[in-house]
Amino acid sequence: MSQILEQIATGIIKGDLQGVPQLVQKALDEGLDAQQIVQNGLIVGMGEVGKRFKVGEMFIPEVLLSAKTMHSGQELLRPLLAESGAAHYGKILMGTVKGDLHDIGKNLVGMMCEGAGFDVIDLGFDLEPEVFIEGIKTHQPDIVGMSALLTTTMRAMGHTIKAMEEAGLRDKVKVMVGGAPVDADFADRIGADGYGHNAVSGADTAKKLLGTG
Amino acid sequence: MMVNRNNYDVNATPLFQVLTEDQIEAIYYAALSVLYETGVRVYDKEGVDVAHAGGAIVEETTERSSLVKVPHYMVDKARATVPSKVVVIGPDRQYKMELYKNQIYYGGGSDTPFTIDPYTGQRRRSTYNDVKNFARIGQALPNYDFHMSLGITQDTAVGTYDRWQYLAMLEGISKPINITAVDIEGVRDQLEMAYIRVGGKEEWKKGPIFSLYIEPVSPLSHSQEVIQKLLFCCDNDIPFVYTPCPLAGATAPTTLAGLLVQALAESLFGIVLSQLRKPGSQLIIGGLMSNMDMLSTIYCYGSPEMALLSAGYTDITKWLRVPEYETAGCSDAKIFDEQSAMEGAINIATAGLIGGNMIHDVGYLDSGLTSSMEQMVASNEVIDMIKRILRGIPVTPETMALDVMEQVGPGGHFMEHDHTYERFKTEIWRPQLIDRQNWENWNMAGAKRYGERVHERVIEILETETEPLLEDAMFKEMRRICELADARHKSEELDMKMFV
Amino acid sequence: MRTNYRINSGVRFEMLSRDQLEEMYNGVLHVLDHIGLDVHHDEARDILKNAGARVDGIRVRIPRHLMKKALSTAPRSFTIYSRDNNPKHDIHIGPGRAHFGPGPTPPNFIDIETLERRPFVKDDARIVATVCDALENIDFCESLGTISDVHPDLAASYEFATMFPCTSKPIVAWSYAWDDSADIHKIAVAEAGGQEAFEKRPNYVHYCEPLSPLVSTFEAVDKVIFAARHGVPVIFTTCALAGGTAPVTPAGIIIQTTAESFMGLMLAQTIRPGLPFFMGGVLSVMDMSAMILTYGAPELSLMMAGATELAHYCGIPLWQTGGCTDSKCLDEQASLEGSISVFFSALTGGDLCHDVGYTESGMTGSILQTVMMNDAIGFSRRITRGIEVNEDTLAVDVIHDVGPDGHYLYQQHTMRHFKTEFWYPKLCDRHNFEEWEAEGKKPMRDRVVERTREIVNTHKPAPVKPETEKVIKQVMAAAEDRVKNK
Repeated sequence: MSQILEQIATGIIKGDLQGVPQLVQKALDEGLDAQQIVQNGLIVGMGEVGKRFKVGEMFIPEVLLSAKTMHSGQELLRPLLAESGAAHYGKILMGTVKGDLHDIGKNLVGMMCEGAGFDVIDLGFDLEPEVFIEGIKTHQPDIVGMSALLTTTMRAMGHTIKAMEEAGLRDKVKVMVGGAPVDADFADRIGADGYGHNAVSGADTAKKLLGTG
Repeated sequence: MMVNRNNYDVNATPLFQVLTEDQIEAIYYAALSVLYETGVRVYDKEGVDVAHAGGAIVEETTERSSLVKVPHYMVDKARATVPSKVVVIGPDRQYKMELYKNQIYYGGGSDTPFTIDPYTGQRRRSTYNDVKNFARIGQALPNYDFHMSLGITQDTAVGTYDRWQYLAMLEGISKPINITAVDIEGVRDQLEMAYIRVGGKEEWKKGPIFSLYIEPVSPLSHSQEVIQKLLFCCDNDIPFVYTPCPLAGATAPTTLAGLLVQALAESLFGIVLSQLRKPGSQLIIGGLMSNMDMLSTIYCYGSPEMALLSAGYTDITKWLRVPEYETAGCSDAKIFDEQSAMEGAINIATAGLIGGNMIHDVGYLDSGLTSSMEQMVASNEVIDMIKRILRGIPVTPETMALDVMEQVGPGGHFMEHDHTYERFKTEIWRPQLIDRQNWENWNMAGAKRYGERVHERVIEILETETEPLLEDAMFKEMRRICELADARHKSEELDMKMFV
Repeated sequence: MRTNYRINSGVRFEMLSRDQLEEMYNGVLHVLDHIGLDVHHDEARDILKNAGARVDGIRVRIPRHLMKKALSTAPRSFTIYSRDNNPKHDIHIGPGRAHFGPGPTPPNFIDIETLERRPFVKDDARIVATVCDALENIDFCESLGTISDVHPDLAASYEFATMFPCTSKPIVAWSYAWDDSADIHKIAVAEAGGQEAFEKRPNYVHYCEPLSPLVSTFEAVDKVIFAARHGVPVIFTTCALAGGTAPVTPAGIIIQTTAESFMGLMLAQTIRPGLPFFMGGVLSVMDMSAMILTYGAPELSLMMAGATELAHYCGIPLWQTGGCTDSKCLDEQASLEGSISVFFSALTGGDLCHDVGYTESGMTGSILQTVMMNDAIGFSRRITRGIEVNEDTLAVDVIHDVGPDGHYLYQQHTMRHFKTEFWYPKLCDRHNFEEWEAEGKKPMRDRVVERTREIVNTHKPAPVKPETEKVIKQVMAAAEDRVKNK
């Protein structure tokens, strides 16, 4: 029984984008619980990926491929997990703030969060506060992530948080911020809930904010 | 008698080349394909219209942008009018940058959010005073040819920082400056300030005292702000630097040649648009081209790939005959240490060898997030060392010194020979902060690390009184422009202190 | 499909034009033919005289045509082999290839535990060899010191005996005199499996150092004769100070030192035509305030580059110098000086670049400096590798697929290339500020020290054969005997 879960974990580590969803389906057909497949297959695999990445044995493109593989496996299980009311893996809304077109950092965090099991909705770049507001209303995320690469556009993060307050939505979500010129001090000043100093820590922060990390 | 010689090749300096002409052409024709078949996305209607009127194909128009495809002949036309030389001078005409093939100038980098405090050694957000002090350091360094802010003023209004930053720089330095701007209003304000500094618009026409830094986003994306700035510069005779910052593996192909193809396509679009707007518009192309470190995800400023890509791109711009924006004197170290010394020394050597024109980012640490006066001062000495090597090896009867060897003979020495006496001052490079003492003397002098001596020099420059560069009335007039800008944009500021 | 496509394999660097090199080459021939050198070795003078040299007392002059003949038999390409048949540790000397290693004989050493400067001892040779064996960008081994805790006459023999079992990378050995050369040779031959086997696959190089200006000392010449008679690849080069023991101009010092090497080449090729031979040396300026030979001067890189090109023009490999410093400690000066000379050595393809680890102007050997330079060499090698331009790397299709505003992180093209296209440093830190802060805010020198200690404590070089161990013991016992009554 655990053999197929092992195969799933190995498939995650190898980034077997074709094979893992097939293995997941096979596991379901064999009668395994969706929650079990996630915990003992997908998450074990990504956990190993994280370990290897930390010691420099795996590189970002490999980690991202594993994350994408994990995500594709998880997509199959999502409806079942929702049905059974199992642990909620979190929905995160991401965007680069107004005036800023840089999104590679945001994309990286998004991909890492997918690998951590999150449902990631990317709104794009150069986003007015209103776009974030609409996004919150439409998707009802757990976390809103904002990114900026320029010092001048950082204040749009403050404006966006203010807009959330005015729309009565601030306490419905956790807010995290990131980007090269952003630091923990700034995140504090504007009233964000969390801060990630790079893509990996961004995903960790998201997990912490959700209470699962 | 020794008659004169012909058919004799001389390397007057060392020669360095990354790409052959054939390789350059392969990259160039690939870039043309990208421009024509993939196209670039332009987020500005006016820019799209200019391109379209010039013959470009416009597709996939949305509310915010269009896909613009540029046929090859438009590039040829633009190349015919783009200047091969751009000049930017200092406001007192004492310093001049003539940017063309193989002329090298080294200078700073812009807008770092953090800086190393010269007194405490701590990293903190940069302020108006920091920007002024960095300018003063730049003024004092002989191998530092142009300036960029090396800090963003975060104790002023954020949305109008660019005017304050320019004022701070003008307080400290009278060398040519490469400015940044928030938008075209920011450029306009800084232009007004520049007119005040030089004595009017006509004076500006005699020699612009700043160039504008414009950065499109990779891959292949030109925002409204970027296009508006480009058009404004063309209309107002402001030379500008048009440089994307493609990141191999992330926002550009992982292969270095592929990154050069994409970067060239992005730059060529700037050339095409500027020449359509006004033939003869002056621009400098290049970029910070580097790799993403695939273990840590940082944007590498200190990698060999960065140095190699910049050098490869310089080969291309020399072939195109367009002045180039290179990168050196920078590092991914977090402080001035052995890593920043190593990375900076080799990239300074590479940029000088290849003949990059406007070689920027001297003083940059921490992947471009932190500025360091120590890195600047040390780089100044490294540049001096590299310049000694770039002088090359003259081969003449005097330098071959065969007769001198005969006179000295086996077992003799050259110390008192006229040949040595007449030449040692120019042949032998003299260090400033580099230490050559023996062990005992070095110990007696305090057993200091190079970093400590560099630090002392930084403090010495900061604490040496210099004549103010701006008269009081001039300063006040320029400051008024900054204050007016603040007032116009007050409502956009956050109602709390963002940084300091 | 494209034709007529000429590419650079790696980058292209040129200090001197072919015409300038021809001029200098003629200058070298002139020095040998017209000025000549003082050769303080009777037998050598006889050999040279019989070969056609003009000998006048101790002054030896070599006619141009004779010198050209000798040059024609010296090989440009050959291999120096690892002692344990490990192809990764073989050194393939040939056009365009630069190799790096430490240097010999400073009196002092930086203790890797206490970081203090103290006299070099036998165990330091073990440490240096072990670290050289482990560093991926170091190709050969030299001790970085003169052993002070053995009989002074046996420093060279003990050094080789100690280092040889600790690295399978080729060692560049030095010696005081014929007896030590013989000690060293016995050990190397034992491992190779006999003299004949050694001549087919030589596993060490013999370094000889005559004197500037234009003096071939007895000791240096004696060793060349030993090397030539025993088929040992040999280095015959001087340490010259521009303005002191050589002309102050780069062209002048290059010509003089080349002539100094060529006297040895003439002798070596006469005794054994085809013997692998290195010219070159340490060419630098005399600092006119400190009155020392500077190891960190920009002129070092300049002159070595010119010397390398002249050597290659003559068809001879070059003994280069780089990775060294005048700094008295492991600091930013040591890093920048060493990095500059390493970089230029890589650019010119100076065949064996030594003194990586020399500090304090050659007074103190520091394996820490070598470890730090390992990254500088890797960095430089990535640059000299250049940019590959072909259909795959131009990636036009990939650019099209990704399109404006896209990204490349998921592309197969990225997966295929990111490991080989980028260099990953060992000790240059690429973390962001918060991570670097969390790891202790270390400057690079701290990481260098940690890594050096780690290597010494964990690296296991391939051992020598048991028979060789025995031979080493025998040789050293006999050597001790030899000096007992001195």
